[in-house]
Amino acid sequence: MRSRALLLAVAAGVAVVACAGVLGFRKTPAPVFAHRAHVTAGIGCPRCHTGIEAAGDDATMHIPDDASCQAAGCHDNPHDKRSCASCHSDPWTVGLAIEAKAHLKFAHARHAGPAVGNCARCHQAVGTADGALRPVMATCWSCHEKERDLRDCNACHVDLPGETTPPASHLIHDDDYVTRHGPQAAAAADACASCHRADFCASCHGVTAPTLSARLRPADPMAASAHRPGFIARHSEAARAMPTTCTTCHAPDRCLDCHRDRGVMTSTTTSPHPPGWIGVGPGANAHGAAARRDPVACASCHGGAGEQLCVGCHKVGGPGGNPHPPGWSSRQPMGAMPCRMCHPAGGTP
Amino acid sequence: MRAALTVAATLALAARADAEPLRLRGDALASAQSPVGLLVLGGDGGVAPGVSAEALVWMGTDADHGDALVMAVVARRADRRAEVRLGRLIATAGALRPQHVDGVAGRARLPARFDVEAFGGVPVVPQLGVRAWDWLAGGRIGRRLGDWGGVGVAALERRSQGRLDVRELGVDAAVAYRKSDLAARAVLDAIDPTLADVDVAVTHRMGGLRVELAGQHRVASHLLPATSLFTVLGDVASDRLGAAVRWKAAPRLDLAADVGARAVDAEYAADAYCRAVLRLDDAGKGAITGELRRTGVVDGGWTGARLAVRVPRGAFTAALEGELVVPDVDRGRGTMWPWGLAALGWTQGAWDAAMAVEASSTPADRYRVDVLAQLGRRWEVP
Repeated sequence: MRSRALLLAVAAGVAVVACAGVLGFRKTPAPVFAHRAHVTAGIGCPRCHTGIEAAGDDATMHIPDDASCQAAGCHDNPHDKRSCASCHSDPWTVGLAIEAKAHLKFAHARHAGPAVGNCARCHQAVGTADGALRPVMATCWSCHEKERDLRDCNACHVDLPGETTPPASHLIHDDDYVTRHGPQAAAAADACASCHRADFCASCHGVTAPTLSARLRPADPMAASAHRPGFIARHSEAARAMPTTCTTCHAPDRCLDCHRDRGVMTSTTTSPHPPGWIGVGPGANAHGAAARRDPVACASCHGGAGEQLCVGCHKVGGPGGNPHPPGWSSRQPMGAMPCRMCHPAGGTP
Repeated sequence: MRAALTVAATLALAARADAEPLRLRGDALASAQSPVGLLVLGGDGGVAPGVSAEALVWMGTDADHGDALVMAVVARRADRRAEVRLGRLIATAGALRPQHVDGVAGRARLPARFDVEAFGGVPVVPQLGVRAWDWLAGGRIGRRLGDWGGVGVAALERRSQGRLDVRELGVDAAVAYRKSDLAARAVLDAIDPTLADVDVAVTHRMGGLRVELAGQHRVASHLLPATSLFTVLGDVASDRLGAAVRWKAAPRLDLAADVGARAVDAEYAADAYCRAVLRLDDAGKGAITGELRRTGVVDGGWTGARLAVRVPRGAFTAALEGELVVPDVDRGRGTMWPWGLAALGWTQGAWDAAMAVEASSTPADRYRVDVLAQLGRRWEVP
């Protein structure tokens, strides 16, 4: 037994090593720009990023090209005819800069003064790392505390809900979070609104939602959605296992509407309920326990007329007897609905 | 026709955009099975400094199918200390259930870290319908506790044809301490005083490991209008207690598991799932996920497996998704319910499209094959 466990452990270790690249442990070597080497050599940022200290929030990017490297007087005799960036930089870094430019309102000119020409005050990783040096949001907040307090995302973000790629430093929900977000959303709805527009909430909680949100994205099986399209096969099982959960988003009459539209249970003469659903005596009255367990499911089909159906039997002197459980009390006035269905005069029937 | 007019009115309003760009999106979905067509139009943008609009409307191929999901104008102060929304919107206030309402909602940040939220209007009736004497009103007063938490008290009253439907009080709280946080909500049904709805979640993070303990208590009759006869049956509460673990086992591999126990009407059942997500690239554009799930309940348990793959190649994305569900009791509805979908997506600039084939065997249909086509486009008007 012990040798088998050892064998399994070795096999697992070998599998992890063999799959290290797939699992992301060993990244494919990518060229990155040697920011640190340049800084430690005493080369100031504006020498390559020409004009960056006066740059406004316009469309101009200040990413050095081959001409910048040569014009700075350092690399005026390149060792290769190919572009410098083809080996000494990576498109990922440039892509991050372009993405930041598109998503953020930012002007280096406004920040150069407060930073007193010290780029490393925000680009703190420049002394220790290469490649992309975009500051994290915590760095912004070290000065812009007020915007953080107000959650004024639009102070910096052009269109936060429209940014489909949340920064790595942010909360990213897994696909089950949508079904258990209630407690967190209750206390921090404005935090949710930082990223989600009203139509996101309405796609589940709205009574006029057109379809499952996953249905509109068939090519993205990872998209967050309260239900995957295959859910319809087991929805009755889910409703039975988690009574009351459906009505968090769906109106009680949703069941009847959908069944009618799909031609399920359209017969008015055939009961959809199993044998033993209703009858006289405890052995043939499954409907009572089911109704107490999930009254919302009953109400989804038996609305106004259904209530009349119930009180036909469940009345004092009727075969169903008093519908109230032992110890029942209510602060409802007798003349209010639904009391007055059995207590028309506001008193004992 | 009414939906078309709604779209036109929304776009006309949005066409006045001047402060911020106007973003529009249209999606058309067609399928071989009924309902065969759906057009969804959404947009948002600034209509004046400090004023923005948001709308999402849809039209189906059936003559009477078409509606507005959201259609609201939002006015806010430049510092976001106050905001008012007018139109069709989702109103949320702490522990209360979200309400889909045609009306007005506002939020203000007061001194001493107090927040006030209030909303009122007419509950949304599908198909732009109207019911007389339906209205609702609610609100919440909350206080932020530094940057580590907050508490709030909320109330809601809803009337149907003038009769009392819902009257409830809610309390919510959230606290964060180092790598742990706690969030909770509780709702008291004030018509028939009962603690009707309680949700508590405690989360702790340790590096790549995230552990959550969650509990839920819910009384079904609380979800029904107070005018329903079913509220007097003396229903039983549904309770669940569970723990979820998510572990970032490798840079591209996430593992998740959830185990819980549920009690309904003196019956106890367990449910659990485990899932693995492997990203095929650092950005996660390609991914494979596999999941096993077990839901146990008397006369309604099932065991299922799900596999989904998404592989991008240039402008195209291939996706494969499948589920297999085995019910504990088939009751003549089939011993297995397989479902699968194969899709090919395409994205180029502002356009995206997808074509999919879906096949399933469900309790309602022994065999069902459907072909889906989706076409979407984004516009941005400066």
